[in-house]
Amino acid sequence: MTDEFSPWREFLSNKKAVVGLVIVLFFAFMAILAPIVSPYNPNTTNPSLFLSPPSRAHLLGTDELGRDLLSRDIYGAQVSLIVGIAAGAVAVVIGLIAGLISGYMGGAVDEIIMRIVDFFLVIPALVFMIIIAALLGPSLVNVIMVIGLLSWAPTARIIRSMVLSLKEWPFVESAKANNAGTFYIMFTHIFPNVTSVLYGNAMLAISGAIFTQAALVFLGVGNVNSISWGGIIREAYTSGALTAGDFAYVVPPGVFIFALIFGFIMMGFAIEEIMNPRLRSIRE
Amino acid sequence: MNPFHKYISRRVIFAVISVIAIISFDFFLFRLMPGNPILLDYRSPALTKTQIETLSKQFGLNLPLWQQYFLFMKNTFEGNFGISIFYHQSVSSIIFPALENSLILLVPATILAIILGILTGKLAAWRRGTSVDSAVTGGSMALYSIPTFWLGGIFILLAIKTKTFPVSGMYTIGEVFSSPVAEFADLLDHLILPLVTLTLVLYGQFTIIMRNSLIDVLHEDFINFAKSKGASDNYVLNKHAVPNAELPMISIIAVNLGLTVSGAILTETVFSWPGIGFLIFNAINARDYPVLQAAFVIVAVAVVFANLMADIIYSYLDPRIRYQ
Amino acid sequence: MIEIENLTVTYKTRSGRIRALEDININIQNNEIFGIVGESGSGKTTLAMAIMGLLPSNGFVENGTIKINGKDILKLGPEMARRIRGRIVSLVFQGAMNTLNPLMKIEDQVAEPILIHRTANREEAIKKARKTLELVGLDSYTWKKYPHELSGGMRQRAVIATAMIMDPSTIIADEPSTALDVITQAQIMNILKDLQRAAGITVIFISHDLPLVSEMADRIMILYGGRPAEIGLNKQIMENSGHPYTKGLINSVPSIERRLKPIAIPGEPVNIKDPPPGCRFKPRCPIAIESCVSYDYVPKEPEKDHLVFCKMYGAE
Repeated sequence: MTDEFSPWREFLSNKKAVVGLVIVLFFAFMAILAPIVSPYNPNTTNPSLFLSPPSRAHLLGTDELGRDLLSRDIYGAQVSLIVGIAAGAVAVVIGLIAGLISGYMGGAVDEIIMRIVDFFLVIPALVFMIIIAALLGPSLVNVIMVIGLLSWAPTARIIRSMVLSLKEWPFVESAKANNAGTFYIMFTHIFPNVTSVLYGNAMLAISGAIFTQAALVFLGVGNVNSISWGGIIREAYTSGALTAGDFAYVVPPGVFIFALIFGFIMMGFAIEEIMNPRLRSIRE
Repeated sequence: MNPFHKYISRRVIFAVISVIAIISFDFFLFRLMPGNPILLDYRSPALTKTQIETLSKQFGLNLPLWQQYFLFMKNTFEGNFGISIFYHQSVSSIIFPALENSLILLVPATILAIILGILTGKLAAWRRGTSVDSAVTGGSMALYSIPTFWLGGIFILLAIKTKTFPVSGMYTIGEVFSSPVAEFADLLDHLILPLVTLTLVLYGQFTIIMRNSLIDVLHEDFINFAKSKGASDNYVLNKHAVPNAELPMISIIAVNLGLTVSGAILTETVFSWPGIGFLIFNAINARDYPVLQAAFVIVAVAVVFANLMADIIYSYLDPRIRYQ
Repeated sequence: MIEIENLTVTYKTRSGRIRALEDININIQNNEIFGIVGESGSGKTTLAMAIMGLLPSNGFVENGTIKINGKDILKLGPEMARRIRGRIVSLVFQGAMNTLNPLMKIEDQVAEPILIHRTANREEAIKKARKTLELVGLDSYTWKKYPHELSGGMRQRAVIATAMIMDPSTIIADEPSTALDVITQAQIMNILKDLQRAAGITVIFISHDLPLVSEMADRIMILYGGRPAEIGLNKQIMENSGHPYTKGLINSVPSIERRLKPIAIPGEPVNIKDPPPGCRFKPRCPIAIESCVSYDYVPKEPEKDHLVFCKMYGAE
């Protein structure tokens, strides 16, 4: 019995998914078109405009170095999206491989990998990331790797349980009976059916990475030298703008972080909702 | 040894191995990082000559690496983490009080968030698909998406503008208190904003966990069975569904303790709450590596330990594990 | 006495409305064992749920009445319906792993109906639960155990005890022994038979397994695609069946007595989302003719108490 199931159509007819997608696309365009859309160069300093309030010329005012806040907020989208997606991808890929191997191989391999996964789940990831990032020094690649390498555990767990239930399915039995090799089965049979869980999980991983990057920069580690929303919030503190009551400085970057994370989470939840009943229609 | 004891001992062994792994990783991280931060620190001009000599002896700074490793292990288990470059005192005299302050913030926040999360999660799951559910789920996802440090900042901004609550520290600086009650009142005054911030952030997460757990349980056969006995919907929900939903919640919350700690660190930094998170933040800025090294271990080990406790509690509460 | 008249039960789904049961008419006498046989999708579980008032939120009774001793239980408010559930009419579920609450001890779960309906205090409830458990063959060893500590057969006995404890006048058993091995199945069947005889209860026995049902039932109704195919006394159905589906069911089971090869019924189960017009069995029926698509489900009555819902019956 075949289902007339088209993932894209299901996705687009889900309210949560559409809202999430629109939000993410909005920020994607913001990031790509930043040089065009932003009114000023975000790095141009102008000491005479120290912490000036919102005005016609500068809609959100300027920061302590006289840089236009609106432009900085617009450019901030770039880092959040790049790090979020890249780190999320690293985490998901590692988790996918670990989960596939662990779930399919079983036995001692499974035990060892699962203990490692448990370890990574238990440890307070942010603490590790803060300290490691502090030691490594500021750089985009460092941040992506640190976040990615410490966030793969939840994905591994989910993939593994998926694989465990897929292992029992008859089409795996018949593939084995036809002398198919282990890796062959893993990639051509198991993997396609795991993608359903993977996408939802990827959305959550990306949203986590966006938050973590902002948190790290806020704390003073990670890629502090690029323009990012976490950095702008940090500067709101360190410049005294926050305590002085400068809403225009501190509110927009936070709202942007919130919105982007919320967008990805919406999509993630929507995918989970769609995929859940579908888990039973396995493509053989 | 019956299966249950075997289960418990397996968890304990795992915890012990995790702790050893954490301490080992900590050792190598700080020794092998570019610039060899620890050794540099221990030659810092901020320390007195006697201090440097004591440290050299205790940590074997001139001995081969593997010997240093075992000395480090021994020192860690004894609570000796060296001397703080910034504070000029032993790290342990700084860290443990800070840990205590963190708990004053963390524990009430977690408990409040769990209680509130169970209540709203229950509401959302029972009225699944209705506007109540959408509102609760949407609101929880929104809370979950709000960056902790930004939310705290907004509260600070508002508090300063409205002159309602203090926004930094644990007590009013320099204040002399007339009585323990007055001192406690001052503490509460300072606790309110960070507590509300941290609770809100955790609450969103716990609501969703409870809701999903309860929805799964409501699909189980024994729910229909309970209904067939003539039980009212309320009875089925509270006597059958919720207890079964709360159980997996314990283990999920335990696994997410790491996230709880992250939230606490960010909240402390924002409000200058003198806990271990704030300590880490300052240590990074001051390049105070002995403190960082110690904080790394302490926080990680605390989380491992809390996880173990949650595991043991769970296995006592779930008859399927208790009576195998 | 249970009288079901013109019962139509419908489900609202994303792909439209599905009539799981259409125009069902049954009269069940007191102390009778009434069997309902059908494959999955026939509507048999829907019937059980409709009588119990446990239809899911997207299911509703579109038409018809269900009268117990003259009173239409469908017209009762939820509170009154709840008082009947588990007390006057109780349900024995299919023996799934999770029918019992994994966090509650056996004797507590069996005693629960008493506490729910407040007919005794906790001490007496536990006492009665233990007595009832003994009746179904579960001794004191099991009382304080948790469900996962018992075997499937023992759990199913506990479910039966729960259904019995309020001394109901009717028990609906929906595939009570399906998930169990044959030996345990036989044990469960014997328990049901003994209990029925001793307590004089009306039993509605629902299953896909016709021979199993015929071991116990006084009368049997064959259900197909949400509509009746045949109703009659046990002997009539088993030895003188009129409907081709019934005959197909009887022939598809290997039997030592008959020494014939089992013959499977061809085709797929009916799609109740989009049922064929007229007789629902027509697409799979060996003797169907074109005009069966206009069959109006008016039965033929070859002998007293025997109804055959087939246009072609007797038209040799």
